[in-house]
Amino acid sequence: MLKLEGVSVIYRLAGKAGAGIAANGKAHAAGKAGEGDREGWLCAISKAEAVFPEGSLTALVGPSGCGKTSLLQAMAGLLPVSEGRILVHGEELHGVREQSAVIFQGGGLLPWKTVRGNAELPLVIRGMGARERAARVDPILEELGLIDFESFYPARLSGGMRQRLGVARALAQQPDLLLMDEPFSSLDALTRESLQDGLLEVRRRHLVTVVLVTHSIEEAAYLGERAYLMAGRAPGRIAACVEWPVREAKGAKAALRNEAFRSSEAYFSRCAALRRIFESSVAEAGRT
Amino acid sequence: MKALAPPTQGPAPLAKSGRALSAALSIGLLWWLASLLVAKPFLPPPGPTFARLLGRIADGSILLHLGASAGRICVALAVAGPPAAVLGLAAGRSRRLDAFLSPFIYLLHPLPKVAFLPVIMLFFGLGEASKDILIGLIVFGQVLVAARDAARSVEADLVDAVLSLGAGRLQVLRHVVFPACLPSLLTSLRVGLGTAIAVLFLAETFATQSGLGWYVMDAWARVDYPDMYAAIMTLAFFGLAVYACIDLLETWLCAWRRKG
Repeated sequence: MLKLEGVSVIYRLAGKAGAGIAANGKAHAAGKAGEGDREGWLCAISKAEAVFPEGSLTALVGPSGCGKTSLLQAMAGLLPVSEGRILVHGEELHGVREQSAVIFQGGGLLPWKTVRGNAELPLVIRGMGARERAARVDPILEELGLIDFESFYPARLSGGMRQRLGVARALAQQPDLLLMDEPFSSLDALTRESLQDGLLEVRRRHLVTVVLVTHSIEEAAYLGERAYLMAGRAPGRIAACVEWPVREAKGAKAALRNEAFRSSEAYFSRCAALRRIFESSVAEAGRT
Repeated sequence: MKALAPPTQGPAPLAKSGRALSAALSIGLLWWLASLLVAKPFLPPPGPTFARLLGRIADGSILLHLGASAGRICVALAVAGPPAAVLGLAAGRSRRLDAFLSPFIYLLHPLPKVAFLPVIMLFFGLGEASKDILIGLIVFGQVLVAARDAARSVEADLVDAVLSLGAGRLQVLRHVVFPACLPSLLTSLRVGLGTAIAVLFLAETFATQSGLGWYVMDAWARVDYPDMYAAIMTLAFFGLAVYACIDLLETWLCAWRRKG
């Protein structure tokens, strides 16, 4: 379970490259989150409260610039929290965690490593031997239809395959928490839909808590069991939470969303409801 | 089951050497025409010159001098290259080190290193060391600046991605920064070694009796023009071989850049 308690994220604007690591943690916490940016510092997120139950798939929806990526990076331990705390299984998060996998917008793949090299990278970093690595990664590459392309470099993969490879690398970590940053936004509609279904499939086989950052209301409505809506800008904040009745209760078959769900009444009403909440929260943000 | 055939490499390397060959033939043809027009002993036709070159290769004399020149380049490269790469990559990734190093680079890099030849010779004597140091300085400067600039422009997303896998600083260097900078490092080697060969020629005209630079000047003094041109041709082939080696290294180390 992942829990955010009054989380604010402030980071330095100038020369963000390399500073994104900020292993010095809370050195520049300074407290005053919410005041927006002071000289050279940007408050990306102010006092976010959220709960992500074990095994849930929660969407984090908001317009670009609302700080959702910063929040995700903070949950990954890549950005230090300047106020409040992030709890993973009840323990406060400090830095990167081995069982938290992040899937980046472009896949975050290393162009100089092959499909296999990329998928095995988390295990190489942990110092695992070659045979053990192959034993863990082979079934994953098989599952995601990448095994025949294991010696390919990312430049030769299609956008959909690259994203699948990002998922494969994440699964190689055997994560209990999967943090996804707009993983499907750069794909064409058909590829996106098949990958969305692929994600649901992966989720049925692996027990993970998924946090999905997206700007797409449709994606949140299709994939999410719950959604946090974000609004505002520097700082952004969590404006609302929506929960949908858990469909899994009706049996495994109902859990499998498919083309029928995409054109169902339930899906459309979800989208409409999200949109309504969105508009009202944006209007509210505009007033304050 | 293989879904797709591996990419065919295509005729690229073959076509490249084909083009190089036709360029060499064109130069030979122009040379021959010029020698007919000039009709002076100081521009012998390519045929006899080439024959002389083969003769010098056969008796080993020119190979000795080629070896001396190549040796100087290799020593300089081995001594200056790795520390320059390491320092440059570190400067590109650490703002503090870069702030310290940048002023030196801006002051010293634009200076032509060959201007230091007399200074180096005064300090280190007329021997081998001075030549190695001069060539080393050239390689060092090129590689240092290229490594720093390349390390600076490594995509922050890739660094984040590898950090999110639990990598430490050294692992980021090994898996992200170094491979990302390798193409730039090889390019800087290409540029640096080109300059190095040119400067080596000059350095070898001082206080030595070995190396292709000395050989050219000596042949000139002996008024043995075919010998002089044979040495110049050797110099050209040497440069070609150095470039070919770097190209080979690049295809081997940067295979990922070839798009299928």
